[in-house]
Amino acid sequence: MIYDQARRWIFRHKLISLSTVVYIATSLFCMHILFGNVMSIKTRTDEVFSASAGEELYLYDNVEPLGPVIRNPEQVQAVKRYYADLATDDRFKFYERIGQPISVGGFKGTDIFCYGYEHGGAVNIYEMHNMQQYTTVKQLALNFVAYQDFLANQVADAIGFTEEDFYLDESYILPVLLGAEYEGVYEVGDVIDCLYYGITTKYKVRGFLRQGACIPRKGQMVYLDRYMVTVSPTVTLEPQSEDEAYWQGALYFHKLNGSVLLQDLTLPGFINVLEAYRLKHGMFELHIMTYPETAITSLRLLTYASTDILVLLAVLLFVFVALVLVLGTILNLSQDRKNMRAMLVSGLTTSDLRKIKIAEFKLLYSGGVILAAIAIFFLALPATPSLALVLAMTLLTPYMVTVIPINIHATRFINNRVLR
Amino acid sequence: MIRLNNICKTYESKKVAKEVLKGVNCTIRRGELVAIMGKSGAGKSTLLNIIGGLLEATSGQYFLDDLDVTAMTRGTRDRFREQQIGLIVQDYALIGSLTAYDNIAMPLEFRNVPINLARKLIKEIALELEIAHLLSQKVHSLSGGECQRVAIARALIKQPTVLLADEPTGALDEQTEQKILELLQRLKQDNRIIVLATHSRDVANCCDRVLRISEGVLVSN
Repeated sequence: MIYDQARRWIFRHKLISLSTVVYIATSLFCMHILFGNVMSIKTRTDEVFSASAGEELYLYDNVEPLGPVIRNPEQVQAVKRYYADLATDDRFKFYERIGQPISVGGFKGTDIFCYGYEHGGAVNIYEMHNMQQYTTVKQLALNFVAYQDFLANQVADAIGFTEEDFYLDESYILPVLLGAEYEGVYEVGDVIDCLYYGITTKYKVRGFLRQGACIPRKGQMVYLDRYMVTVSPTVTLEPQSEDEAYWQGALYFHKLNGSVLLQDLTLPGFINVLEAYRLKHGMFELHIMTYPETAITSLRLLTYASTDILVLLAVLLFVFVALVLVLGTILNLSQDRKNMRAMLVSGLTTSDLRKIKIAEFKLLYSGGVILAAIAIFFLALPATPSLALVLAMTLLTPYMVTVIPINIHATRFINNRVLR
Repeated sequence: MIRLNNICKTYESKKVAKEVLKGVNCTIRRGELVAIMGKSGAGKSTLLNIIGGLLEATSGQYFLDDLDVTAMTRGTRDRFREQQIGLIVQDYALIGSLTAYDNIAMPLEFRNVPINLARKLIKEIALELEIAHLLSQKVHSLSGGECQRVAIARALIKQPTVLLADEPTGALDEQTEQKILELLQRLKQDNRIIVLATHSRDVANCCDRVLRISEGVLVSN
């Protein structure tokens, strides 16, 4: 009977009801967009900045000329052992983020993917090898630790690298993740021919990165939408040719030029460790340098400030929506006094009247929620990573916040203005 | 029979407590048409609302036949009101956007009376009150007298033991007032108790008995 009466009231007051439903739907939709974006930005910000919270020490060699060293098999083996000690020492994290461009055979993309495109145009990006044209494109090679700490949570559809992917086998096929702008250029499963220091390797497309994926490197954020992100492999295979030996040498020199995030060591302690490994393997010296984090810090501060402003806006919108709902319902209640009196005189109790008023609000609110949910589903669903939370927050919280004052006011109003 | 024993009513507000009824005693028998007279603010409407079960007396006892209404819980009193009391108010308390039929049907709807039975009952009462031709009309298009008849029909449709009317002719012209009073005279013959609150001496003269109330006390019976 309560809901039946509430429904009748709604049909008798079509214009007010429709306006209320549209207002609720519009408000909820806007709140969803705002809260969704706040959540999205917060999640993205945390993803991007969570791993770049410490000062990294960048290592680089100063070997000149490099050619004779790379061509010396014994030196290469020493470099590999030296690298292995550094990469497996658990007193610090050893990151590899090698930004060496790579040559791709029969490249399907446009110039935007080419090395140097963003810096005034790509120059000398084409070369011929075995009668095939190779194009030099932007590449970033990561070791497993760097992948896990900086990129794993930015891979679309959660298809990324596993630890096994970082070991090269005889097939010379490695997985590759492509930046978001590569979508439509290559597809998952495609095999791309690459040329790296004279050796052809194959990269099989594992998946794509989320749009805007980025990682910190040398004090800057590197945006990966136009990058190929490959694994920086550990090679245990013995070189079968001079070319392969040369390739392994070049690869390991790049791998050695990584960065270190100290965990259980101080800087002098780390220098001692580095020196001990150098002497152990009879290696050349590695230099240590840092990059100022100004750019990343500014970006981080700016992003957090924007998030705070959005949160404030969202809260203001929430308060406004709730206030208008409560005031609107209260106004509507006072205008409905005569009808309520008629129902009271006809035999309804004050409690029935209150329940009818709350039922009206529930029905109108439900109408608004349904409309808003449809709009969200068709227009704004992908904007939110934690959809259930945002939906609950934007669709249900205003109801919970407004129904209590409405209930209290309805009880008072009925007892003081309708009953007497 | 209605029996009121030392009924008191005090309205409590944040700052002051206002004593509106100060020990009202009276008895009203079935088949009686009784008027309660008094100045504005004397306590007529409050007494009527207590008899009607809309308000709870602060102290005292109120019996309808053998039922002690003052001892009832709020829920029981609500049911008592719904079953035993018919209310007519000065401003009619009708829903203007509904037809006369829908307004009269409201109490039956709240009782979940089947539609066919409701239709039959409404037709009967409408014929009795000579408003059958008005049933399909929206209430806001009716005259004051017609509205009051519709309000009476709504009060009577649930066959109440007690019919309470607060200034039932207050907004009507003389001719219409007379018709309504004749109607109330007729209705009391069904062994009903009819109590009306009024300022009008003419209305009071048409009743079987007049209770005069002044400053919350019954001064003559």
